[in-house]
Amino acid sequence: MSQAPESIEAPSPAPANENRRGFLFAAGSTLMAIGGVLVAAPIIGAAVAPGLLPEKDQWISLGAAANWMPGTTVLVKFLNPGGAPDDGITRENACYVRCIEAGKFQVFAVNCAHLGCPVEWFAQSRLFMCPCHGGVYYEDGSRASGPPPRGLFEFSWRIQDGTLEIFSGRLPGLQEGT
Amino acid sequence: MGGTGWKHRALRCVHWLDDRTGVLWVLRHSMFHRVPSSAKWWYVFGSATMMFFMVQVASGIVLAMFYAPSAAQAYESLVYINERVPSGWMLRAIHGWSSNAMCLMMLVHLVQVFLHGTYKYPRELTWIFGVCLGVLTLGLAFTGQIMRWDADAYWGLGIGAAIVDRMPVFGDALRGIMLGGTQISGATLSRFFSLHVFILPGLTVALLGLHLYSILRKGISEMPKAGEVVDPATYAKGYEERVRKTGVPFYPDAARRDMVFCGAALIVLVGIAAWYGPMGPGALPDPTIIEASPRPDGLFLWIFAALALLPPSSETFLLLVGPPVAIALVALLPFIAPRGERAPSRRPLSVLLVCVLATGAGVLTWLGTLSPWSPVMDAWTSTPVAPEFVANRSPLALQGALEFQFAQCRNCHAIGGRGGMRGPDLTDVATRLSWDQLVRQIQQGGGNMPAYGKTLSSAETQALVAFLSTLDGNALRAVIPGAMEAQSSPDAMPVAAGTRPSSGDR
Amino acid sequence: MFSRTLSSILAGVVAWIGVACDRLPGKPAPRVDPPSLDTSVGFAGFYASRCAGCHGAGGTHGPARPLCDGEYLASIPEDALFQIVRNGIAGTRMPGFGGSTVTGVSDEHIRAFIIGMKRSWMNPPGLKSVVPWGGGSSDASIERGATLFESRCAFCHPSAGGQALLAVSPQGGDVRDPFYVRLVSDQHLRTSIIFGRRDLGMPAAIDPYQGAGGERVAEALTTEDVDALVAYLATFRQASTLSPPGNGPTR
Repeated sequence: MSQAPESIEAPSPAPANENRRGFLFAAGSTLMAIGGVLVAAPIIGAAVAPGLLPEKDQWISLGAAANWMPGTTVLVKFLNPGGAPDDGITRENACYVRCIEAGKFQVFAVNCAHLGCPVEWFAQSRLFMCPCHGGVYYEDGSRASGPPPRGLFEFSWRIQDGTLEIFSGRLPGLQEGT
Repeated sequence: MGGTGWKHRALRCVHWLDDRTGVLWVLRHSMFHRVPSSAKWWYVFGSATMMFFMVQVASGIVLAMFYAPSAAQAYESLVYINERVPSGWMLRAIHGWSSNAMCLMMLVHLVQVFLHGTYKYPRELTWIFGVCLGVLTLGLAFTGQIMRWDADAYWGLGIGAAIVDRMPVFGDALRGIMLGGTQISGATLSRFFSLHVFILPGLTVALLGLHLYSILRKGISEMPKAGEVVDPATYAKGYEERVRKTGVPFYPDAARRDMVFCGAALIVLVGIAAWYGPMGPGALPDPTIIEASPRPDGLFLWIFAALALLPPSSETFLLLVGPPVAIALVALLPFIAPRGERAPSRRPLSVLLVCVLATGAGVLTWLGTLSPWSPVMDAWTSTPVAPEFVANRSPLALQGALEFQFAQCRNCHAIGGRGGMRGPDLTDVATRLSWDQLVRQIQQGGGNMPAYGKTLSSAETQALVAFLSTLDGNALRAVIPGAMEAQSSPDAMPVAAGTRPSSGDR
Repeated sequence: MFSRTLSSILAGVVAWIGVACDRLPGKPAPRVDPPSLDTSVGFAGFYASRCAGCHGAGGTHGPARPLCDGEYLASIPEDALFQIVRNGIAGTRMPGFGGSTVTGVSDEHIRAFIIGMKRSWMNPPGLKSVVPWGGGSSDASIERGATLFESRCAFCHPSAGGQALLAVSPQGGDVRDPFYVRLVSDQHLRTSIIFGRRDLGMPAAIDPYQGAGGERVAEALTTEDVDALVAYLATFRQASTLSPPGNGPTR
């Protein structure tokens, strides 16, 4: 039943047909290439688009600026601007708003600058602590101890018609210029 | 008449099938090919890995019938599988524990192949396919952990994103592709579902085929013997001859051991799954619940530990360059050491390497479970100051004990062995630091401790130091069992004469 | 024979799995809501996670006021207790656990928690202290407080004279230490005098105490006594601390 593997030599074409065959092969290759690119473009495009065409940050309202008491730092929830209903509770996000004095704020991401774990604010010792690898930050966001290479990530903020707004949307990371 | 007629018809069926498909030829070469007779119990681990992969495929397909890969519903669907689907919890338990078992068997298989020098000529490609399978298996394990879509999964993704983000130039784009957007969201779960259910298993099946094909083509290696050196010029001929002379058919001779081991492993798997149950889901994946202490699954704990212990200055470099270089080195091993001795007894460096790596991974995993570098986030409210540190203290020292809890000192410092382990245990701090040294340490910090100078008033500092200076270690228990009894009870003195202090003295 | 035994064993195993599957130890327990805080179980869990650090496991022998004290729980007004748990006491080491922030405990939970605490630790119910929990008059006599302190407190609470380093003492330690008085509220002083720290050996207002010479005296403190003592102790907030305890002798 079983045979020794046949030789895989291509049959030599008849000389008279050589031109026609060469043309057909070239045409076939070209058509396949064009068709392949046309099909692949939307498939690969949809998969990598989020990396190449990221959504832009937006101004997000956190509520009336007068809500915050000077000298306090509080956790504030907001909705991701690019979120979809399908995101469930992960559509929510949080940041720390530090009110230095009336009208003067610092807004920190909850993500540790080391590897993005959620830092917790301790009002009593005025420190942020990270539960993963032990990064600690002072209340102004500067690094106090542990592995983080920098202070907490900050969002730009502004007060628009008495409302505190932050410029956010992107999960903060070390590439951030802030 | 009936018997022979039936047999005859069946045979004709088989012949028909073989004529159209060539199945008998395939069977003969895959099932009944000759393997070295020395291939014994050491060779079962690869089969076991493959069997657990099949368990994963089967249980995973059925789990996908119930799992909702949507960020809004994934968690609830897991709870539904656990509680409502008949034997659903068992299915999840089997899938979870079989994943662990597959990784474990793969690791043992890898170490065995490495120690036996099986990767050498002519099985280079078999090894490389195997290494690729190993990477895929780890990928499956990580993406599987994401499927659980609980707090650990959410923050695990955050850690993954933060690592990818550190990559120069492409970091941002790659992170966007990984997350499917600018945030961890439903799109992220969909992506990882696609990876876990289609892409990685598909690649695994393909590579498994190549792995098995290359095994069949170049044959199972013999047990290494000291002195039998692999020489590409003569190996192939010698191997073929030995197998023809002394080899045994794979089925049933060699397969018997595989069957015994795999069957036993399956039963143990079901036992473990029935006893320990499914893993998670844990806390809800709510990004606004800050009181989370994300931890990876056991398999990745050593990475978690390494991330805490790497020096910050070289961390990014090691994170981005280390894993690819390590994997490439392992994959290219057959070209680094293609010939020579196979027996572990003649390859002390390889044995040493395995020992060092195993010890390192074990220690890191152990540290990862302890995570002494992490503050215990709720120790300040949940870990009591034990009565022996409260009794006979002045009112100021009691206020200091309160300050110790209130200022979250306890999150990093233990007293009496309870509390955080990030900073030193302070049970006997008064024997190490004077009053003034305590004040300075608290005010200025240092040695990885934040400075509290701006936070604490003079009275608070005085109280805290008053309390700390009472921690003279007198409450420490004796390290040597029985030493305290020997000191305190007079009749314990003649221990040397053979009497033991009675336990009733305690 | 062998195969028959084997198959009957197999059948048995299958039957056993069918019956026992529901009782396997790995089966996850159905999700239930955490017990309400006004039950003793719910209260105990919440107390252990948020309060035990300072108030002691089981509500005694912690550095902060013992809460497993029926008399105290009966005497403190419901609303005062609620305010303390919710907002903390400013300037002291009692943090607030409630509030409208994301991480705060809701008012409803705090009220349930207080019910749970009284249910667990106020036995027998309704036994109030003779001296009321709150109050205090502004015209309380500081001199009277000084005299009372010498006769009724000073034996256990001698003045350390700037030697608070003797922080471990078999006695009560210096309560006139300016640093100590600055760290606590008048209500803390008042509560400590009325309810004592029986778990640490300090008598309550109605308990026998040790007189100026160390003799045992059974004479309860009156409301006026307590007012006077608090007023007297409060004066030490202004006392000079120019010779801080740090300059005292080291042990």
